[in-house]
Amino acid sequence: MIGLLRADWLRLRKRRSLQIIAIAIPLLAAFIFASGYRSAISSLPPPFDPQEYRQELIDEGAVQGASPEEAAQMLDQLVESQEQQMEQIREQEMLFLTRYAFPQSLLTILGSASFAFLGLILLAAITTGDEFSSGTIRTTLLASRARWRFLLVRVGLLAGVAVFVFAVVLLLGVLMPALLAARGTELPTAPPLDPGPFLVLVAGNLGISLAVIGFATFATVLVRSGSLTLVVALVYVAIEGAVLALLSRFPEFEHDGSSEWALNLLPVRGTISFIEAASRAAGRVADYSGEVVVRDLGLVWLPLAAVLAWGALFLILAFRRFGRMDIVE
Amino acid sequence: MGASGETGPVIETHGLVKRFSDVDAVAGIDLRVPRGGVYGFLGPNGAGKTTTIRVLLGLLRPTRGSAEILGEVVRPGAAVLANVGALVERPAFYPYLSAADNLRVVGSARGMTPAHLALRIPEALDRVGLADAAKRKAGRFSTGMRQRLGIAAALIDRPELVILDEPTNGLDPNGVVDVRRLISGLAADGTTIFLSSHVLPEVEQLCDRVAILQAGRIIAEGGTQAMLQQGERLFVRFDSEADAAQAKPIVASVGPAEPAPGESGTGFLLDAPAGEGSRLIRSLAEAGIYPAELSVRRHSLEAVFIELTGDHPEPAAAQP
Repeated sequence: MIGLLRADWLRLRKRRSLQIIAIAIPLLAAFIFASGYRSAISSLPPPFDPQEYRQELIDEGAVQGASPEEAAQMLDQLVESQEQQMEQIREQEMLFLTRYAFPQSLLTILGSASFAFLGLILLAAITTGDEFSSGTIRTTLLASRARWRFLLVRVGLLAGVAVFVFAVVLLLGVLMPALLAARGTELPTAPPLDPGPFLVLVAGNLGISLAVIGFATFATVLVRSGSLTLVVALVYVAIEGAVLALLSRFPEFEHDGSSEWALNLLPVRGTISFIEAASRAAGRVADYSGEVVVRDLGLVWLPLAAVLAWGALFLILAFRRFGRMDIVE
Repeated sequence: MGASGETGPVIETHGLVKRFSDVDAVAGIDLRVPRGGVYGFLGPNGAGKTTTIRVLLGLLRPTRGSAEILGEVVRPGAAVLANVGALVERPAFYPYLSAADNLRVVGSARGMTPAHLALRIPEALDRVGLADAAKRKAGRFSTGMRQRLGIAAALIDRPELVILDEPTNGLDPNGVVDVRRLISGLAADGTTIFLSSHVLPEVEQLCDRVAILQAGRIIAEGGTQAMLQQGERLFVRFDSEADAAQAKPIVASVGPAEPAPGESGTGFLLDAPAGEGSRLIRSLAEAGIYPAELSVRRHSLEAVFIELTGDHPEPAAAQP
């Protein structure tokens, strides 16, 4: 097994596609994080200047026709109202900006890295699919004593890549606010994360990664091609979207409907639901309405269990198929 | 089932059948390859040679029957396959890895330690004439170099049995000679070689025994020399047509005879073994006729092969 691991590591680490994907995912996550921050900062209202606003009102003729006393009173009221409104907007924007301050930045960057799942599908499909298209599957299996060991090592290594990618992404979640601070940006103080839900979120992301690798591996050994696997993945997402659209016509599947929970049994929807619910629970941030979500993990378990069950099923099918298939390449 | 241990056959199949859709690529093969030496596996393209080899290596599952290697039934991932080195058709390698790294992948997957590999990789590359190309990427190799690398991969762990499927494909004449020398050397060292080929002179030169495959069935099997002797004929030539005409009934009494081509009616070919030569000479001498030449003409393996396979219909392209 150690030898197989050594062989597969040598194979994988020298692949350009692995190097590119493993580097691109964190870089892209950092880019999305930085873009989001830039966008948020640009929508911050400028500091409110009561004198300037008062002059604007006068210039616009807002108090035309009023006596000087009435005009002064009206202007005071308008300026005060505007000041309160701007303060509210600023508070909301600053609240939004806490997403980019540590430790909330960890959740933000994890959310930005959801495409890592796509990267993992790509990686699993390419690495195993190429073995079929180039015929190296024959060379590999002639050297490996048991097929299941080869597949186990391959899945294990891809899972290792997923751990590495998410670790780098989390590290960036720590570094990015520090980088922003180093550039002189003042970020609001972010509330601490709820450690329990945060750990569930990280572990869940890794579990979903394994499920994604399982899906891609099964599809690849089934269609014996990396590129076809990507087509299968896209077709599947489209089918699930169509099923969701169809079910949403029934009242029981609508938001807060009696059977809405059942939609989370679907892999893609389950993944999205899990990440949203776990992030909310871990964040403890008040939303725009002022409501603070605290440790609400109730919505997390069903979608996570469903996705993990799908992953386990795909892996079982992949091992079963791979163990019995004829290698004609 | 099969014999095991140090003395039994290295390969044994029982009623081996492999069907693809509605074609039997292998249609009931019973094969017994003894330990030691070089065993030739002959057949025209599409006869089922590669399919049989893939079943032997656990890459394909037999539809019916069984295959054993070194006494153990072969199934995908069977432990016994660790004792087998193989080159199947065109060898495939990771193009982005160097020759040495490709061998490292193969050796590591076979369970060899890094220290062992550090010794064996240069040795294997040197043996196939690729020592200077160890660091070159396999993707830049010519067909012949890939073939050599495939052989090096098959030999990396000094297996007991080496299965080579068309090992000289794509090699230049020097490469062919080198590989033949290598095969002879391996056999001399005690490794059993199972050599699939349609290059008949190669098989004739290298193999102790051969099996001839046609349309998924073995149509002949035996020692190479015995098979060649089966096609032995006596050739007798006289000085003149008159002598030949006079000798004709005597010649015909020894065995079925026909005029030898290109001898202008002065020579005959007899379907008689070499041992009948002395009887022919005695009979001719008693009649006062003395031949100008009497010799044994042996068939080449090619002639035996064509004779054996010629009556059969062209096999379907049944390989995967």
